[in-house]
Amino acid sequence: MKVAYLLQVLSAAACLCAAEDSGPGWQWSWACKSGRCVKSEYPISYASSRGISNITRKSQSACRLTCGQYGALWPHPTGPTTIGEQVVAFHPSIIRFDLLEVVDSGRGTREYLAACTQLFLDNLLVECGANCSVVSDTDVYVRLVTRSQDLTLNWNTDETYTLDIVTSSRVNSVTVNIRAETVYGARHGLETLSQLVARVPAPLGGGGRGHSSPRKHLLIMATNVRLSDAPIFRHRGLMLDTARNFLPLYAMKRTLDAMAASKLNVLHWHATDSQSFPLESPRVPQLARRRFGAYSSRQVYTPQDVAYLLEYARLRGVRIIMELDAPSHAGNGWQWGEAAGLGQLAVCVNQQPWRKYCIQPPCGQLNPTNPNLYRVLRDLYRDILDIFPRGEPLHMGGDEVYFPCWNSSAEIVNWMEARGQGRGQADFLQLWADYQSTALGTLDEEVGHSNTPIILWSSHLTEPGVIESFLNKDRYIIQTWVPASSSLPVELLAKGYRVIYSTKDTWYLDHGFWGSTVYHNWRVVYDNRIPRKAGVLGGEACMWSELVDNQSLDAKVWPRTAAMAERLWADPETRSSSAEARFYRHRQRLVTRGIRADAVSPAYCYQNEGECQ
Amino acid sequence: MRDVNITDSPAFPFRALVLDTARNYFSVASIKRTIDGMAASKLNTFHWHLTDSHSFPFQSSTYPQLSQYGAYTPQQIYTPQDITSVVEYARARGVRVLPEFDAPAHVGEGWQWAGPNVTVCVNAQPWNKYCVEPPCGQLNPTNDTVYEILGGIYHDIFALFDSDMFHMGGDEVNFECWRSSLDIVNWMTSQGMGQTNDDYLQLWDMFQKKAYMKVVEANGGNEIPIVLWTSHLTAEGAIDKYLDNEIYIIQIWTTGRDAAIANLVNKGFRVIFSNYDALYFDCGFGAWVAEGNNWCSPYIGWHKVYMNNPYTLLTNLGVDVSPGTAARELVLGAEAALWTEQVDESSLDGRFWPRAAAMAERLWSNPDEGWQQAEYRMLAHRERLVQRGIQSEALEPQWCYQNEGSCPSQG
Repeated sequence: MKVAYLLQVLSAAACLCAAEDSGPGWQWSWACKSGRCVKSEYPISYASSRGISNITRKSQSACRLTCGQYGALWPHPTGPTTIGEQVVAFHPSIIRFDLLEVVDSGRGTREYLAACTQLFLDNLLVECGANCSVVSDTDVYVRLVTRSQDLTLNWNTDETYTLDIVTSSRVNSVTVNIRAETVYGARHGLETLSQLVARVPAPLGGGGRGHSSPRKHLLIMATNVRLSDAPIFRHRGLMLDTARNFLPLYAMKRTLDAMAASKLNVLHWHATDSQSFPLESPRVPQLARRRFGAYSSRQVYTPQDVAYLLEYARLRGVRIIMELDAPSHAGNGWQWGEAAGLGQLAVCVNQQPWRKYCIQPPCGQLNPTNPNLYRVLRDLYRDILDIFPRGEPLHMGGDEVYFPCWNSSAEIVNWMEARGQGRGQADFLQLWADYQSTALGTLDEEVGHSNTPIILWSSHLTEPGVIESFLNKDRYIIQTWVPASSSLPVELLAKGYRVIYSTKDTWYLDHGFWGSTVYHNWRVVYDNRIPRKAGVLGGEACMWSELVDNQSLDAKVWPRTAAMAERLWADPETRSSSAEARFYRHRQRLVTRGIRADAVSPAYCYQNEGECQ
Repeated sequence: MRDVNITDSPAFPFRALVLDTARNYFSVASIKRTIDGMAASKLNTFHWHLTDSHSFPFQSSTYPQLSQYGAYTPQQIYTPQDITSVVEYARARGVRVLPEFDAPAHVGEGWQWAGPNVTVCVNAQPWNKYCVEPPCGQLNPTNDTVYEILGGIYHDIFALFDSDMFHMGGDEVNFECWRSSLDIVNWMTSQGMGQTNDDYLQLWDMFQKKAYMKVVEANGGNEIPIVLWTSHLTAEGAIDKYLDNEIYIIQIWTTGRDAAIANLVNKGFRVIFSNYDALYFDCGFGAWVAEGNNWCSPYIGWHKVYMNNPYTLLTNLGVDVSPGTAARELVLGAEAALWTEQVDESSLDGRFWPRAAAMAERLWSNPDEGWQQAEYRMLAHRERLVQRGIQSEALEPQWCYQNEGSCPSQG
């Protein structure tokens, strides 16, 4: 019987540990009943070390690991999933990886997965904690099989995988098979495997002594598992704004770790804005360092930093899409034009009273009538192209252009007049469109072709009535931020545009702390469904950082973004109330991995599943 | 900096924070970090909401079963050493630690061992009939064992804390909960009491008096000022009937516009302001038992916290608190509250700081000027807190801190 086997393994484990004959202790126990882990009415007393009760077997984490259809998995798999209740104790140091069936003729696929296995082991060790009991007589053998050698990570990447876990006839041997088309699918398989592992109290006596005597733990793995998995949406993203407030590299790395744990695959980097320009451009040093577009000389991202993050992200299955918001949201960093003999590159920079010139201070918009602007942009694009993989999309912003700003510039107004244009809405819209097409042309020249996908925010320029006259549907992907009730995304889709959803009344993470905005709690985030149509690439949660920096970044972004992660990976038919237990477990997982994710309920609700509804 | 000469003294004597360590557990280190922030902002009282129905992390020497049954995990407790350590740490920083043992409601986890009818409606469902948030649970005021156990708990608390006041809670007693117990109903009948709300109010008062006697016992036979939350027991018509204003200090958590506040002061009770519309720091996040956001949403910005002036609130309610009046002396101060249904260590600092510092200036300096004049120093103080290891929320883009006066916000 499995239980007897487990007891045998655990008693063996106990003998290996420094056994203490301490007094009796108390422990609550949990049992899985109809997919719910139910806490015992009274704690169970357990005698000291040698007499192993099934206390370990009945700990909460052990229960959740195999209870219900999806156990402790987040996001849940989309294919048929079986998780049996059998578990085995093991230690990460005995895991062996077999990468021989990872097709590799020097392209680096095996190297990639080898690095992934290292991250996987790190995650297991951190899950177990400092006092991790060694279990040396269980063998765990993880076999990775991939077919494609393509290391490209884009919207066409195959992220599917299957995973099965079996125990061999030799009872202490566990084999995990992860099969995928690409290494990115296999990475997802390893991520899932890390969620089929739980930390349980080690069968030592006297754990109830408080924190003076640190508790020993050990890891168990579910051993009767079969699942297949594939994401519903290909673009599962998080946008970070590093311009309103600077985010140090370690904050971005931490964010990428949490994204990996939740199978998100795009980090949209809103790098610059009117407040600051932290992106260091070797060809145009005035933007960041020399003219302090950056808040300080330390608060910059060098090309090395960016390259480092790209690799860090890729190892976690995440691609980075850079955004250079323009022509609006551009101010600090652009003031040096006249001093350099290039004329005004931007207008109304930091102008007061700000309400006259922009929507949020400080003001600033690029000057599209200055040919030198495009020279600078060319250099800037070149710098970015030098670092990013070929073919990667560029987000060109296009957010909230404020016409009164341009209208206040004599230079711009004169330029338009000279071309027989007026100063009405339609005229400025045309100016904006002209800027966009000139900027794009400049980019295309640097790239060498016209196939780079471009992302723009929804705006006046993307209104259904005018978009086709301004933006080519084969080039431009529109990121909509309208509320869920708006028909804009569907109208754009009907016209053949691709769309990324950032529904602001569910997925704007900054809401609730300013103006009349309302906080979007995790249920609201989770329950926001987007249509499964051909042109819908997916969605993004947006962390605007006017009121956020490294001090509270994690709490604002997590675990809510993880709620969106399941919505975009699995698009469940069920609502957040059904996902509660697994969601609380995932929040804990993020905290264990060093993310200061916010709490969403009293710990009571996590320990008493379903009692807080 | 040289040649500086400052004379300083606080406007209000009671400048506090309350942390709920029962809905979620907080390590001693995080509590000490909170006290660091308090010291930096000249706050002087850390009110420790030790227990609630969700968990019982306080390790009682007399009844160790309480935390054995009640703590979330065996490690998530406060041992006597932990508490002594916190009290000493706070004292060295000019902060007194005010312990709260909430009763007769807000009990549940931890009492399972005590025998039948010691507690009633623990985890009763549907919860919204028996309490304001699950799990439900209340002490049975007709059972002598309750007072025996309370006596032991108070004894343990007084041995560790050395506060000049004690908080007995008295929050949100639900009469339906008591009515649902046959034991209680029968006892009331045997005493010739009815089943109306007034009768239950009387029962509550009986509990309060008997429990207070146990407190006095634990305090070596000495009376001690007691803090209670506003409730039905402190309402107009009830409070002067039941509570002695020489002993009881009332902590107001209703809105600052509640007329009952005027009644409290007019009846001679000392008051502490924790009006939820300005000082509840947990507001503005998701609800955890229902759809939507939590009950006191939206989030309270620092401007509102800063402008929350106890004297102004009372003046608006028609109470004269000008210098020299008796009423003015009754206003002890204010306390920002952090209920932790949706907070644990990951975001503790951000919830308290820097907003608590906004309240701190209100209570220390009580300035006539508005928050606009305080903005630059507030932003600087936030950076100071960050330097001292407290992960305070950001209030504005850094650009605004570097360009003072260029971002007047709307609040």
